[in-house]
Amino acid sequence: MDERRYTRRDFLRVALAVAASPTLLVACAEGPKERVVNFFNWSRYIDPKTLPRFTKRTGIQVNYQEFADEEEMFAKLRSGALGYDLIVGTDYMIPRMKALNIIAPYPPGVLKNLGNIDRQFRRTPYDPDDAFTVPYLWGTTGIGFNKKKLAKPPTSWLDLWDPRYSGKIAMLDNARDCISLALMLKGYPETETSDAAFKAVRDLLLKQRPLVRQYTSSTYVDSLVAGEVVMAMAWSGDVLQAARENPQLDYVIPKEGSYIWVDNLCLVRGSQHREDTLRLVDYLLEPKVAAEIADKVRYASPNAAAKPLLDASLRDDPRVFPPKREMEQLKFHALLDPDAVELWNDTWSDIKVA
Amino acid sequence: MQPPDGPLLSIEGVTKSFGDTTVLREISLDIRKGEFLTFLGPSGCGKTTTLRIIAGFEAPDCGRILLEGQDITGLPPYRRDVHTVFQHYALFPHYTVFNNVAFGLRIRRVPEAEIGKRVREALSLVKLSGFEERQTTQMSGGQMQRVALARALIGRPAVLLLDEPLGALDLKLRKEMQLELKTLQRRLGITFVYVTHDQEEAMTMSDRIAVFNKGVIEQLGAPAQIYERPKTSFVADFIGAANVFSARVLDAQGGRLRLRLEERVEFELLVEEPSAYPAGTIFKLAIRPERVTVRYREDEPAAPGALRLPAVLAENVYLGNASQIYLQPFGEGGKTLLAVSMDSQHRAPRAAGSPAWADIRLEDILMLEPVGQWTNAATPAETSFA
Amino acid sequence: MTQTAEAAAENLPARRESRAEKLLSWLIRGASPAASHLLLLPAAAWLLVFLLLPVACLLALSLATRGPYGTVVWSFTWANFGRALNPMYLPVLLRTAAYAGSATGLCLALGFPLAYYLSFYAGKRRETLLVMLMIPFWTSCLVAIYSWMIILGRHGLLNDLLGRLGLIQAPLPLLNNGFSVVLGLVYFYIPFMVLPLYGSLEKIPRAYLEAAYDLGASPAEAFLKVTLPLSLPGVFAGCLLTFVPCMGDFLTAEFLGGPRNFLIGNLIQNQFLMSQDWPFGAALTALLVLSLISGLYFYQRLEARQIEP
Repeated sequence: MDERRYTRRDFLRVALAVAASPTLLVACAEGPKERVVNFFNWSRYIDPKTLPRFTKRTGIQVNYQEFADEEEMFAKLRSGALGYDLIVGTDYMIPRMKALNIIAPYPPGVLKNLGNIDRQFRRTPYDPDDAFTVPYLWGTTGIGFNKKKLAKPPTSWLDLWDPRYSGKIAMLDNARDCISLALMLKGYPETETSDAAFKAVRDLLLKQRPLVRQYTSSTYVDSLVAGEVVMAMAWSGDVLQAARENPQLDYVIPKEGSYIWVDNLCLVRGSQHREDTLRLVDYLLEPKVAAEIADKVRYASPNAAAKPLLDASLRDDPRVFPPKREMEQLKFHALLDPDAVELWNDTWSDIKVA
Repeated sequence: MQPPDGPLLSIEGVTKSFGDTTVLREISLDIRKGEFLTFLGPSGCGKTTTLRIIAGFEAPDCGRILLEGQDITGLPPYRRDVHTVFQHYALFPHYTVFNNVAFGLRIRRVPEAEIGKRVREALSLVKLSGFEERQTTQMSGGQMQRVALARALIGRPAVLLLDEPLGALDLKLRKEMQLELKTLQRRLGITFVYVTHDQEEAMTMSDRIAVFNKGVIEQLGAPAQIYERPKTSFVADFIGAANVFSARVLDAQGGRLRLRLEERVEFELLVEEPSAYPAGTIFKLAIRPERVTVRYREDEPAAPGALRLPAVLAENVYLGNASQIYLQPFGEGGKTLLAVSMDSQHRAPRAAGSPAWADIRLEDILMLEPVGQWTNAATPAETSFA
Repeated sequence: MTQTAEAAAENLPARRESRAEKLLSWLIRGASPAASHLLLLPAAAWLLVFLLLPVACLLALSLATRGPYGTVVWSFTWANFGRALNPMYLPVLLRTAAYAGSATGLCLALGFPLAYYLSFYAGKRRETLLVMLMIPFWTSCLVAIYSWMIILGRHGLLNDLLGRLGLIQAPLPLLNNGFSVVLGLVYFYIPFMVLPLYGSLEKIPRAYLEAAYDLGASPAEAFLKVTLPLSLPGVFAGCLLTFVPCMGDFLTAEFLGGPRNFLIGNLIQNQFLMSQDWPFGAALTALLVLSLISGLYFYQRLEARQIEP
């Protein structure tokens, strides 16, 4: 059962884990002398063997904690929660966390294995100086679907607007994915903030709203498996993990193209265990370790040196590592200024209220 | 069929247990129309359970309850022509006095105009006119008691059951209410069944008293009868005060018993049924304290035929209205004899140890239940009781 | 005779109540006897420590301005309240009130018979049943929500069962609609209804019911004229304790609801987590709290008027 499925937004598992370990909070209040790293990651986002091996090799304990909701993790850190040393943050979070002084830059030249990272994932819009982030895993946003319930597989984002599937469509519940999609479909650049563009965005998403069964970032895979929905705007790895046991599930990057997102290892400002944390990051960058993690969680690894070591079924899966032509259709999310972020959020909030 | 002068309410062989505890053992009792009958006894004696069985709140394990010749044992409380005044009044806190009293009539769908008239009548009967719109939660105990009475009386029940209704009132108010209740009962002619543990209350109000003890009725009779002729030591002791001693029958001849009191003093007593007192049997015997005359000089004459017990004064307590004199007629360590006297000669303190004589008229010696057979081994402990 | 001594003892002046005893009796019986202060006490303590203090912070926050990246700029403005009063949010508020009201009504309809059974008939099973009632509190509500998703789904346990029994031809839409949200709310909050109801029913002296029977009232009449009116403080307290958290609930709607079941709780949650607009979220919360507190105030006024003459 433990092998069931890995997903970043596994609320259920985190809820159970928290209920099962009441000493969690005590553990993160340990003193600075302790050889320990407090690592805060998405739920089921690592191979269970990885960290014990690190401890065995270095003698450094890893206090591993999971979150199911990145916004919650962010709120926790923002309100000054102490005791975390290393967190995993998605690209769009980085400017925010930087601006709010939550994360600290990496000291240059310390990470021996940093060179293993694919050049493609360096000098990104969200961290142009490569100061704050070390890419951990990446994925794409596309459409997850149930092959058995669809006449033909979706090829376009607009298939999510198909009235034949009214009440059987799920959409991700966040402004970043939905607004950027609507802007792209309406032919606007992601940085567009004009009233006309946002009226078009609003109209497009409101037109889809009656067809949507649920706006959710956490339960859509369950809904796909259970047949509650037949198509869902989805994150690649979530669907692909479920597809291992539910062959009727499939994932596609629509022809209009899509966005890449990257989860990054970030140092928490004020950490008392900087040296040991850096050792852990360096360890996670080792090709063998990176490959082992990617094999387990079925997300793509940005570690170029790890790629030859990956399981062939993962490495050769075009849904995980899209072919070059498709790859060119994929973009990083643009860096938005705070006013634009507000506009996006308010627009998304209004659509849900409407 | 009900004979015209038959009992209003009959309890026939009622037994009741709660779990392993038997609280009533085959109680049988007839209650006459219009009488004031009191169930008297200490707590746990079964008197309240009997009342609750009559009201229908408890079902007897066996036995029957008949009201005017009809078997009502299986009827729920709301189908019985019997109303109750509860110990703690049980007035509805969300209703005014008026609505409390009107409750039974409203249930019976009596027209509002008549209800108003009858509630006012009932309240004037219990001297609460003008209290109609009061909230019951703001009333004194005595007032609440009257409301409860009015509420139970207004439906003109065949029998009114009262469960220690005056228990929560202070002594003075209780005395007033006793007389008032008795007057009310005579005026209305309603049969009252009254539960109390207070023997004085029972004596004041009742036409008849049923004395309960450990789930049985020890004696049923008029107050004077219960007091003058108690049948058991329990009754003698519970109703008024009594000196209880043991007495062995030495022989019985021609209606004359020869008795040995506390294995010390021999005397002869005339009884109605000498066959009930076989020789060799030990009986309990009671003497009321107020029927003992205390003399301090031997030459003072005793009443004709009185038993004179020489004794030693143990203690003399002056209470104002009377004096309590404790005597030791059976030697040191023997039982004490209590005398109560209003004679002024006892007001003066007298030294313990002075000689005294107790005169008891033979008709004031009450023969009670047997306690056992005399054997040589019989020890005083076997026959000792408080 | 020993009556005189007893009389003397009974005539002793009643001992004056100490301050502690007075407090205790106020807590137990209330200033007016039927008022249920004891029932309100946990709510009052809860309000003070966990609501009043945060509400003060919340009010301060609601008057601030949103800065870049979700920061808070401490400048005084009513703008957030202006936004919160936008008619656009009225349907959300009305929908929330309707759902919370339906859930409260259902909790009452289901909870009253349950509390009545517990208080009057459960006997020795009472303890066990009360513990069973509390068990949902011990499990994570997410676990419960996922369980409901499994039960209510298109191919879930319930539809499957009904289909096998031949009662339905096509699966019923049981999930992600108003039905599933109200069901979830009822499931989560029914203990908040049952416990005060049970408490108030327990407090009714059984002698009142015997008095009613004695005066000729049938069980139904005694229930309507005695039990029901005397349990009203419990009904009010239960409805309040159910309605208030239902108004603020967001998890139920987020997981069991659909786009048409968006509640005020979800709106607020979105401001705090997704939009990172804490001042606006605070203003929405402040308005919600304000409306609930005024509700509480009117409830107390109503209760006071009911109890006092």
